Amino acid sequence: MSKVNPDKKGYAHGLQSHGGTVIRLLAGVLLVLMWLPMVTLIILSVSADGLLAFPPRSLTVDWYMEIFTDPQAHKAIGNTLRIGLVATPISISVATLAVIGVDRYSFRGKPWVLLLAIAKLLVPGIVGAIAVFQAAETIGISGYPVVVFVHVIATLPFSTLVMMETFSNFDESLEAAAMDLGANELRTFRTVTIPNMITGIIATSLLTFTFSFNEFIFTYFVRDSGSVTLPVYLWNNIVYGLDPSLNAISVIFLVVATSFLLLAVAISSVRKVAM
Amino acid sequence: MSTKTAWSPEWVDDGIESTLAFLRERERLQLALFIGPVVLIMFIGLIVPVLYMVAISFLNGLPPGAEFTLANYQRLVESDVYLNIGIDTIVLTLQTTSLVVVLGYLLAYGIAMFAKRQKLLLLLVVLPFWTNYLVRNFALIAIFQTGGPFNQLLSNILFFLDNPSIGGDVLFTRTSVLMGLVYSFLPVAVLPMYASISRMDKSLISASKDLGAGPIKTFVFVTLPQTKDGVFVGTLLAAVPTFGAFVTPAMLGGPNDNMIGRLIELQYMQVYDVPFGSALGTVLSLFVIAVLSIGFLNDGIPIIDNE
Repeated sequence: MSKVNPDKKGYAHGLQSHGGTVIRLLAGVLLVLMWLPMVTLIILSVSADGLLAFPPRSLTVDWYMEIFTDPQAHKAIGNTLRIGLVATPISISVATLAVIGVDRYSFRGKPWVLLLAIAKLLVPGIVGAIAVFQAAETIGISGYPVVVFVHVIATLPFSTLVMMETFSNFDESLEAAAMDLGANELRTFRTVTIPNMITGIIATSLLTFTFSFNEFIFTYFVRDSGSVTLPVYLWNNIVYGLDPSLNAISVIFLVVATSFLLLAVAISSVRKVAM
Repeated sequence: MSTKTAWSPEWVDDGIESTLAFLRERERLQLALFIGPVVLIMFIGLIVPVLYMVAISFLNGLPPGAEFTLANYQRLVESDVYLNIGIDTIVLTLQTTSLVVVLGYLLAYGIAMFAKRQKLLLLLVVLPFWTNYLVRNFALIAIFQTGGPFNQLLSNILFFLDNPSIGGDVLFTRTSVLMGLVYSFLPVAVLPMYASISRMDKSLISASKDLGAGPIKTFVFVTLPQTKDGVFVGTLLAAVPTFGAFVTPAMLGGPNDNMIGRLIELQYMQVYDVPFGSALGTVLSLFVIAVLSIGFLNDGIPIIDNE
């Protein structure tokens, strides 16, 4: 048994200082390793020497220009936006309703409703994707509406969890006050509930949209030739011929994720769920 | 009591008021309106399709006109190829999950216990997760390719071996698949572990040390049990997607580095054998459900019990 030594550094947490240094060092190395691939992509995206030439000898922004001039990439970006901008509000609305229902009512099977909302997390992506693909095929629907629908399913677990967090911070006595002053439920919702949660809702929307922007597995199976999204375009490019604009597209994903996440974290407390 | 609103005509107000009055009497209906959409969407969108997939796995073709058969499952059991892919998938999942949990715990512990700028560091951990999954895997191609940064770094450090191709043959092997899986799911597993480490009562660690336990003993008997919820959720978040992964083996693996997920994708996208693909999907789901149920029976459903 070791003796207690009150003079030791880091005594406040009872941790030995050299142990702390080792952990700090290893964690630092891990973080650097996590970012090395990303930094490599950023450097390669401005390389004039081809897709994977490292380090580049000359620099160019041609690959970025190519994304905005190439009709296929153009269409993929357009599709991604058309899908995300419709699926996000649907996902948020459904999630908000579900969270209110679970929060305000007592009923049997409450855990099952929540389990259902996050079910997609518990099923391997590929299984959900082929199942929905085959079901849609059998009914005979395809293309844009199915893709929007799978984006709602894919984002629901996330939007539900974040809305739950947003709601748990809401002071319900404000609603009671509004009702006492004569507002009906709808007016209370519109003028008290929503304005009080608006930053949370906006932050959740930003992250849900990012989720939809990134969604690949479900989309890959159910899309038709007219609803190729940017991730599917990226996949086709990686698997069937490495186009030099791949790095630039990758950096676009990184930029979208970074800016939306920073914005969401800055305006609300979604941090607790999102990171 | 009704309130006049300036923005809508009176008959709209009256309509809203009478609808609300109608609903006030009926609590079950209110509840149905709130949770109905999510239940309906998940049933139509996930539960029913998955059950339909299970049904197809017992058919010899696509309905209508297909007949009941067990041939799809027989094929699975009888062929060494599929058995080996199944074993490979399980081994890779175990390797990935253990690496992710150990490295993730280290990262979470380092940030929660020692870091000054925790929010910034956490953001750096999470950002790769919010960046597209395909991009993360593609980035590893860039790193591991022959003549890439990994190859150059290794041959420079180990210059005395005088072997310029050292580290240049990692890509399209099982090693690069493992690295890709770890890289893909490490960020998301750090979060729950960080949450439980920063929540735990640090004075317990001091108490344990005061009572004479060394750092290892303290970690095993105090810190780890206190943070096991986070470890459990982290394990799930890494294991479930790894088990069904198809993007990583497709992008970073060679022809012999298949996983079940990739095999399923091939049935749908290239071989067009939907019943066999469904059988594979069913087996995959059963496996995941079995593992999850064992975990849930022990600990309850972590995400939901947090309330």
